[in-house]
Amino acid sequence: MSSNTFVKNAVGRKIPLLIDGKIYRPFAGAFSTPPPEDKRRVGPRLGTILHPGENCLVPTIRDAIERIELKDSMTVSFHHHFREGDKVLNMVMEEIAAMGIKNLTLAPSSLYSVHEPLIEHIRNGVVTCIEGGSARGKVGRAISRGLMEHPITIRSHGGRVRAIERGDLHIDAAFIGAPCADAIGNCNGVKGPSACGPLAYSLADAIYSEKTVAITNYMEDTPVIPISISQEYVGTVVKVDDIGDPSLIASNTLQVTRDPVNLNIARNAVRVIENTEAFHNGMRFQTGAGGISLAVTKFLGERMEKRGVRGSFGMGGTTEHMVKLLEKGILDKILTIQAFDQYAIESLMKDYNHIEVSAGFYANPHNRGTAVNLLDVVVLGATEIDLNFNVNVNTHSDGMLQYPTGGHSDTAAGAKITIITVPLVRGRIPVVVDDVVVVSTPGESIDVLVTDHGIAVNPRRRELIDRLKDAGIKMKTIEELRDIAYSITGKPSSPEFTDKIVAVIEYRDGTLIDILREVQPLQ
Amino acid sequence: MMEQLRRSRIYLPGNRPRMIQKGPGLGADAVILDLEDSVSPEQKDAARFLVSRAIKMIDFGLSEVMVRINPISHGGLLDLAAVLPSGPDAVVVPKCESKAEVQAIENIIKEAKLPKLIKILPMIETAKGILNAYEVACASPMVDAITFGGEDFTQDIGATRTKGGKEIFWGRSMVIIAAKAAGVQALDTVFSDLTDEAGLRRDTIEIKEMGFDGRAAIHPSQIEIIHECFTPTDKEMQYAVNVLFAAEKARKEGSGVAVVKGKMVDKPIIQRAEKMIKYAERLCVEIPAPTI
Amino acid sequence: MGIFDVMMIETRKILHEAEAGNHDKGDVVIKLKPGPEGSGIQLDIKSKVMALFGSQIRASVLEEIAEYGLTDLTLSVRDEGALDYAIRARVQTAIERAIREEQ
Repeated sequence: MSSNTFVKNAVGRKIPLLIDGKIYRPFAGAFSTPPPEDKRRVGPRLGTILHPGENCLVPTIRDAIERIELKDSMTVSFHHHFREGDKVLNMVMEEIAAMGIKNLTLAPSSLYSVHEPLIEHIRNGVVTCIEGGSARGKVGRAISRGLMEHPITIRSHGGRVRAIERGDLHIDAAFIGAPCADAIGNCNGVKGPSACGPLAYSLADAIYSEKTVAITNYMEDTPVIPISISQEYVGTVVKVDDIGDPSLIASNTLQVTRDPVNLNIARNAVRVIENTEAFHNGMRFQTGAGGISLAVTKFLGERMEKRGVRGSFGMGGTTEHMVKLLEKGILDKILTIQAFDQYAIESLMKDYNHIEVSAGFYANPHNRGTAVNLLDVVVLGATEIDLNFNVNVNTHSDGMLQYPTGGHSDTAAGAKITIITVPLVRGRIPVVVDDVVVVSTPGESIDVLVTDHGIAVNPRRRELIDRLKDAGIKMKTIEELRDIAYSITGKPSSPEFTDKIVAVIEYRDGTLIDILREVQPLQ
Repeated sequence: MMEQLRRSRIYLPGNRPRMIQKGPGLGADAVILDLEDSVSPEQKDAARFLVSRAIKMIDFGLSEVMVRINPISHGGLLDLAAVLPSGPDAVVVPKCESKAEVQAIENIIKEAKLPKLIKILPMIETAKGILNAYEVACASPMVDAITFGGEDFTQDIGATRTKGGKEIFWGRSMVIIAAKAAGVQALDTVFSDLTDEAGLRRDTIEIKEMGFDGRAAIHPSQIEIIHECFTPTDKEMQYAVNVLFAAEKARKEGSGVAVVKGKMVDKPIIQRAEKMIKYAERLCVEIPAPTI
Repeated sequence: MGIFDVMMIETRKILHEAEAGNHDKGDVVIKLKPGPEGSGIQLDIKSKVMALFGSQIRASVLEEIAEYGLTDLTLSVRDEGALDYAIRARVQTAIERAIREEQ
């Protein structure tokens, strides 16, 4: 097969099947591609055996890197629980670079603007490949401008765990920033000055990578409690002064938006939810941490309280607003994959009914069951959405890579009702468009679009349209919304790209849902 | 013809495209594209061009589109020349003190020979304006509301703005009386403490009870609260429904005057009840069944 | 002559440099300079949404200039994602300022 073989996949995207030496299967539908026949998971080799009285604590990061025998061309991984406050990735990569190690594949669960020093490492050949969630800020833009020779592979939370378990993503060394650890490697994220909540994104890395290093700034007597990541999977522990900036890891209360446009969108989203079968005793929902999402959580809680509806669980991306619902008895439980504020972290630690779940438990499609399959409703964002309800969450409208898929395609596939809440235009940029730059989540998983200029329901959901119509909710077609958007902004030209592929968007089942090309330099 | 809903109105600085564009999403009953106080003297020309195009190109949905011009003596003529061809719904005239001012504007609007009916909203913001409020309200059929400008008025009379509002009580009352005597709406000034939501509620309910038909918002977050205050409460709705039911019953039975809650229901009460039901219908508030 | 009667000006010329707009989100700064005779219309456009609306911005600016029948000028656009009506308004303002006799 030559790299010129193109096929049209199930979302109508023309994609090559051979990219950078890898053969891909085209996306065939949200649930159309089961795991390979043998259904095997990989198994790493045994690590260092500790004998009585021994521990695996080493004094410096360099010692750790030497101990695990990190070599050229290996794959290293990091989690993103610290978000913009992360110091671990930069710290470790700096040391790796100083030691002259080269040609690494970096496998972070996501990258933030704080990881800008990576650009230098890429230029210097320390990192030549990235398999990650995406890249924000300057790193993402640099990749879009053709910084890397190999395309970055973008996976959702669930897809990343699937790839790790299958061996598609083989990790040689997992570096885990652990807010609290002990001398033999037990870790959690709820204690210590840099507490972040769960260590959900790291569990698969810890279990399946050849070597695991826990990097901490706060140690407790062995064993730490709770144990998020067990010492069974951790071979080296390093104590450093600083692993992350607490103010950027866990903010003080995130504010519900005061913008009347966003409040209106949130209110309409809740109106939709209230008038579907999702709104019932025992309901299970997920919202995010953006301004509109927080408002949705707040208003949904108010409606549930008013109508005496009790939720079974809320899942997230957890914030104080979600926790307050638990405390008021509106929710029975919370499942947390990522905590966004202090309040959520403390609740995770103290509340019996607030538990941490790993990324695999949350979203891995090729495992026994995933939490996303339990969701009645999920409320998500988007940068763009097309007339088939296909959603782009990875790039800006101008083609620049910026955002991770995260749990988007996972929750959208699993939830009974998926609602996208977005303003119709952002400045001069239309959100409802004829063609999205890339498809991150297929339209078949998206049910309702709620904007400040109207609500559109996916025509596939005939019963939902009828039900909402009966409830007196006015709807528009998505074409009408596109027309309104274009009447405000003007019809945009399509951004221009070169032939070079800079990113491969892998669907959660490992198939190829879309590709992103290098942005054509202007003028 | 149904009276224009003007519970809330909000100013959008006429030289800030981003603020103008936020207008449609605010849900205010009226937006006022401002060429006066929020535009610096050197940028009046820029604001004129921006506002005149904005009125044509932006869909403000259900909001009434108004333009606050400068006083005629300070550029108001140029403002009118620029914006009238775009067809705003109303022109807001600051610091109005006499019927001559209103009539001058009326003539200019007539001269423009526009296909659309444009309203004039004089602002009463000075002591002289208060004393002439009735003649201003009667000055032209294009006037269908007069507004009270509390901040400028307080300054004009040398008073101090207080929470209780005693310094503007008389001014407010005069505007209401003048407006209703002239058969036009009375609209109130802003509540300037953004942090005091309870105070906004209290003040707005008070002015509603005094007879105002709406007030200005200083910030989008106030709009919803203002609307809530002007929406009939369940209690008010129930009373209005009961009044009309009792009145109809008395009429059918030929039994003279009806009694509700121990009080005789006479014509003014029935009329108020009818007005409230109509108002509620416009706001899509649920009309309860009678309980008597 | 009433204020609504249009004044016909024979030839309009840019008399001096002029500027309009602000460096705010959703706004655009237009700078206009007279050029040497025969230099035509020189446009220098930078925009936050260049990839999506660059050609549309160019077309709108040229249209506004054509309304006044002007030529031999340099016009620079620094756009922060302004909508079309605002770009046109700012261009018109800059032109009006540039053709106005200085007081």
